[in-house]
Parts: sequence; C-alpha cells; structure tokens
Amino acid sequence: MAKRKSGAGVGRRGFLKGAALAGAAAAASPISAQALTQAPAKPRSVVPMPVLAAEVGSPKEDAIVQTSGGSDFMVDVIKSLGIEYLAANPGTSFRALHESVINYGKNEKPEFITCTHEELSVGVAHGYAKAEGKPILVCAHGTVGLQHASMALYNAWCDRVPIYMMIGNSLDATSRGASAVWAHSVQDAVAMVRDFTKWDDTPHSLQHFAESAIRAYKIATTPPFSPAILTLDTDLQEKPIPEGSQLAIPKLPATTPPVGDPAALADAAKMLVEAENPLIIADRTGNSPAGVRDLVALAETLQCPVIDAGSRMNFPTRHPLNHTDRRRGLVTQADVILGLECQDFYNVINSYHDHIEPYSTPSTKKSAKIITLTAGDLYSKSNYQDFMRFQTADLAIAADGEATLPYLTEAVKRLVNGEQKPVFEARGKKLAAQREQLLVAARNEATWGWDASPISTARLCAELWALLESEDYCLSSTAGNFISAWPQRLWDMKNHYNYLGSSGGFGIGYCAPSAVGAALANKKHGRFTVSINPDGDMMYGPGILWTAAHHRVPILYVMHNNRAYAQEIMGIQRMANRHQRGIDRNTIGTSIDDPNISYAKVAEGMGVYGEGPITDPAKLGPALQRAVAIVKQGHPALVDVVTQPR
Amino acid sequence: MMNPRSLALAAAIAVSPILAHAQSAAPSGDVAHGKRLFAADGCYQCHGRAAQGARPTGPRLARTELPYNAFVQQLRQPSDVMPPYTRVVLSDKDIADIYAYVKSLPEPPKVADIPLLQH
Repeated sequence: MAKRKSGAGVGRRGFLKGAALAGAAAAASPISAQALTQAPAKPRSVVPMPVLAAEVGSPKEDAIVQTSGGSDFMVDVIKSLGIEYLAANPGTSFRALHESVINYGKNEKPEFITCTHEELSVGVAHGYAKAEGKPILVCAHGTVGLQHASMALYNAWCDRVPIYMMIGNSLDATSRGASAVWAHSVQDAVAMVRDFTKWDDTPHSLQHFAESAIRAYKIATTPPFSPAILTLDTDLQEKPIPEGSQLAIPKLPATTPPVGDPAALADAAKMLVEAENPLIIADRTGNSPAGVRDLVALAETLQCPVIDAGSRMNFPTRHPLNHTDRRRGLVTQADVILGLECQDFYNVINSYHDHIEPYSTPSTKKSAKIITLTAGDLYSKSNYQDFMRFQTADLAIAADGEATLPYLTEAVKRLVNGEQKPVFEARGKKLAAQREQLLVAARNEATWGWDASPISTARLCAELWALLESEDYCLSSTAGNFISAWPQRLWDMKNHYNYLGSSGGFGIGYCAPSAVGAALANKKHGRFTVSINPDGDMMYGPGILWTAAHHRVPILYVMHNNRAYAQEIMGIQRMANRHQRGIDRNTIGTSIDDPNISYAKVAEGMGVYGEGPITDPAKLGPALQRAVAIVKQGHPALVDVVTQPR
Repeated sequence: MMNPRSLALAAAIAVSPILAHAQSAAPSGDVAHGKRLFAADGCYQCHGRAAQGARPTGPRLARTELPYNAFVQQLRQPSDVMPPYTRVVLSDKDIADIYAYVKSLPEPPKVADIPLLQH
C-alpha cells in the first residue's frame, strides 16, 4: 500500500496507480512455482471512484492558536443576564465555555463553583434560586452529566424553581476524537429529561445561541418556574467566530406573570367575604418579600386563618392568623377554602388511608366551596405524575398565585362594608387568642423527651433558635416534615427566606447542596444560612462539603442524624405488620449504622469544621455556639447531632 | 354528661368485639420487657424513642392518657395511619408490658423551667 507522505495528500487514483505499479514490479521479480502454473490474472477493470475532496486536497494549515472563540461570545451573553455563579463538575464537552468563563470572563459573574457531582450542581442552583429569586447557570456533559443531574432537575421541576442549564455535546462526528467524546455524544441530549423541562434548544450558530439563551432564561423565570436547557455543540463553542459575524445580544424582556381574570377574582372575593369560616391554604406563594406581604394583606383584610402548607415560608409563623397547627380542624369546619399554589391540594383537604385497599375520604364539609389559584393550571406535563391527584373546585383560577394576590385583596376590599367589619374583627380576635394557645401547646409538647438521648428534634430546634433569634437567618432545608415542623412551631419566621421549603420531588439528596446554593445567595445580604440536614440526604453527595470549604461558603450544617432512612423503616414496618411477620426486622436495609458514620470526620476530611457526634443534649448548645462562630468568620461548619427519628 | 374520654371508650366498646375480650383495667406489666418491645417492634419509629411523639407520625405515648382498652384497640385495629399489631405478632401480655412501660416514663420538665422555650 502506498504510504501517505507527510504533508501531502494521496488521492485514490494515485493509490490505485501505485498499486498497479507495485503489481507490475512484483510480476518482474521471482515468483512461486504455484504462480507459474496459473494463468496470468486478467487485469480487473477499474471502476472510477468518486473523488473525495478530503483525499485529494492538501490539508489546511493546522492552526494551533486562535484569537477568538464562540464560547467567548457565549460568556458575553451569559454576563448580559447578570448571572452570579456557574455550578458545574468540569467536562470536556464544555471545556471551551469553562475556559472562557474563567479567562475571558475573569471568573466573575459568573464565578465557577466546582461541584463533585452534577446532581450537586443542580441542587446548588435549586437552593440559590429560592433564596435569591433568580437562577444561576449550571453546566454539565450532555450525556453522563445530565444523567447525574436528572434527579435534581426533577426535584426543581416539581418544586417549580427555575434552573438555567447549558450542556455540552459534540454534534459533528468528524470532530469527535477520543472514545470518551463519542460516549459523551448524543443526537438529542435533552430527550431523557424533556418530561421535566419547560424548554430546550440546540443552537446552530452563535446568533442562534444568543437568542435562545435569552429565551431560555425568560421562559425558566416566567411562572410556573421550571428548568430550561441549552445544548451547546462543542464546535460552536470552540471554533473561532466566523469572519464578518454580526452578533447581537437581545435584551432580556421583563415578562409580566399571568394574573387572575378580574371576573373570577370578583367571584372568589364574594365567596370569601360571605363565608362564615373562610380558610386560606398557601403552599408556594412565598417566593419573594412581596409574596409574604401580600398574603398577609389578604388574610388580614378577611381576618381569615391561614394554613402554611410548607413548600415555602408563605406566612409569618407567629402571626395571629397563622393556624397551621390547627389544620385538620379548620379544614373540616371551613365553608370556603382558597388553595394558593398548592402542590398537593387534594391531600391537604382529603385524608388518605394507607390500607391494603387504600382509599381517601374528604376532610371538608360537603357544602364547602373550593377555590384554587395556581399557575399549575396553565402548564403541566403528563408522564411524571407530580401534578398529584385531581381535586375538583368550584372556581379554578389559572394564574400565578403570588402575582394575583394584590388583585384578589383589592377585590375583597371592594366588597367589605360596614356590616362585615365587626364580624371580621370578632373573628380575628378569636383567632388571635387561639393562636397564642398554639404556641403554648407547642412549647408544652416540646418538653417531652427534652433531656432524651438521642436528642429530641424539639430540643435541637430550640437550641438552634436561641442562636438564630438575633440573626438575619435562612433555614435552607429540613427535608419537609422530617423534623416535625419544630422550626415553624417554635421559631419566629417573618421573611420568605427564613425557610426555603424542601425538594419538591421528594428526591433525597436535595438538602445538602441546596444549602450551599442558598448560602451563596445569602452571604452578600449578610444572612446566616443553616441546614438541618438528614443523614441519609448528606450521604447522597457528601462532596458538597468540599465545595463549601473550597469556595469558603458560610453555611452551618446541623445534622439530623437519626441513623436511618426513617421514612423507609416505617414503610417496611407497615408491610411487616400487614403480613403479620418480622415486625422486629425493619432495620434490615433501612438503618445507617454499624458502623455509625461520623459526619464530623466526614466534614473534616472535606475541609469543613466538624464536631460530634453529640448525643448528650446538654452538650448541644455549646457545640452549636462554636460552630456558629466559625460560620460567622465566613467558613462552613458541621455539627453531628444524633437525634430521635422525627 | 360523660366526659369526652369516657365517651370515646364507650363508643369503642360498643363497636369492637375485640374489647369484649380485653380487660377493662390495665393488667400489671413488665416495664423492662415493655421497653425492649417498644424498641424492637418499631413503636419508637413513629412515637419516638422516649415515646414523646412526633407531629407527622404518631402522638405522644409517654404517660399516655389513653385507657388501657383504648390502647389495645388502637394497636389491634388502629385508626389513622398506624399499622395494625395483631395477636399473631404481639400478644395481649406484650401489649400490657408496653403499656406499663409508657405509663412508667417520667414527667417532663415544666416549660417555665426551660429558658430555651421562652424565646
């Protein structure tokens, strides 16, 4: 075979010519006896082959430096959005964007936050968005990275939080070199997460990128908030910007959220004003200071009790109208119920019975009127069942709850007249008196198991509150009701950031990274960030502790270390009891002990101050004080507290 | 007029044949055995290791105000979210021992004596 001369291309015609010459030369040289007995081979006719340009032309000059790159322009676009951070585990498929961020963009807005797993990257973004009210950027490989990230994306989708993501992919097969690049390439990267993504695109040019980047941000941050993803081709990132390109970055339009229809709001207002026992149930209206302020205004106008369903800090915990602790009784007594952005409204006003033949029973009066106000009615997908069980309503207003609140309050005010005012005032006084008793009852309840070991969750929360009371604090996560709502029952929460809710999708592993994201948002506001972090949750991604140390993130992790997947233990117990067998074997496959994990050592190993395990409640307060001092110096800290199950 | 607790008990007796077999007064129980069962058979998961209760999972059992018959009823044919403990897995004697254990637990400190609960 003819050899390819260095620097010279060898065309196929030339190859064949060479082969013919070689054959002729071979015929002139000594040949085997067998060959002499055979008839000379008849030359085969040569079918002309198409001339392939790559095989006949000289290779282009092999440039080794470049003075421009598509990814530099991408950073210009990203910077136009005011994005503070980029959370990622580094990947070759976005190496160009990464390099542009840190060099061309000087690693400022966005600053690269190194994560040890893509699920943590999205978790960081999830917590940041809830604390700050806008997204950061997440980057990942379009295949293996997105696979890792997918659970966290699902959490954010269920939680209605904007995630802004760019993933790398190599579209042109001839640009893929190493085997890993082939394994990391895909035709349709977002296909595996499209069921829980609001919008995605694969730009084919830099101008296309600019427009899609702005559009993706706009869509992700318009209620209902959700993830949006761009797939970035590696060539588009890496190659020089074509000569003569006229690139423009579109301005991000201020998109107004959808507000409820005025006629529907008037109807809702009439029902609420005429109700004897109105009730408001709010789940995701506390996304901003306005969300809390406006719900307070509505409740106070009506002198109506509010149940905070807990996906956000929707209503101040010690407000006289916060009657979350009386949920069951209030739902059964209400004649009009307004559900505001409830993730699972059905299960708030119905009771589910987890029996062999499961069933639900309504908790409401038959005559109760139901009003729903949610952006969930505007946009939904069907494959994943996070839309929850269908709850009918007398009036369903498809709009953003938070944005609509002031208009609903105005509609109510227009109807409140001289006759209603004294009725409302009397109702308000009664509710205020009942509310005082709720705090008394909560404190009394907290005394049970006060000095127990493992430490009671009430004791843990009371010790922590004593230190946070004087701070502008943010409780970033508690994994929902795993901590028996003690922060909501004992602490004075007034601001939306005082509690950021939980994962949304109930995918474990959310708390630890979301706390870092929240802390990144909070530190410029001088807020103290704390996570009451379940042990099982931490073990999904303990590498986030390293991220917190590496980036000097001031965050206090207080471990809710019950040494088990407690929810699952209860599930196994239920199954065992049903089968009337093995009721003492529920810890098999559900406990996290033997050996007991030392989270303090895990933390220290990652560069984080760690103390514990604390099993004596008398030692908890001093340990927390020491850790708080570390965090106030700008560093992360972890206190491992061995606790009761719930 | 009957007090609410008695009303509940009377209603339970009226509807449940199980209570026809149960004793009306708590039998004596083995506190130490009851403590072991409380941990081994999963009671602590929902009610806490100190039987202090937990909002999402189960009420306080420490020094429970439930009469013995109602306690048995709740174990055998639970209302709400609790799974059933039939005689196959928990004998009447076991229940008596658990009841004795939870009733033996100490009173908690008073709120007024806990500065942390004044915040």
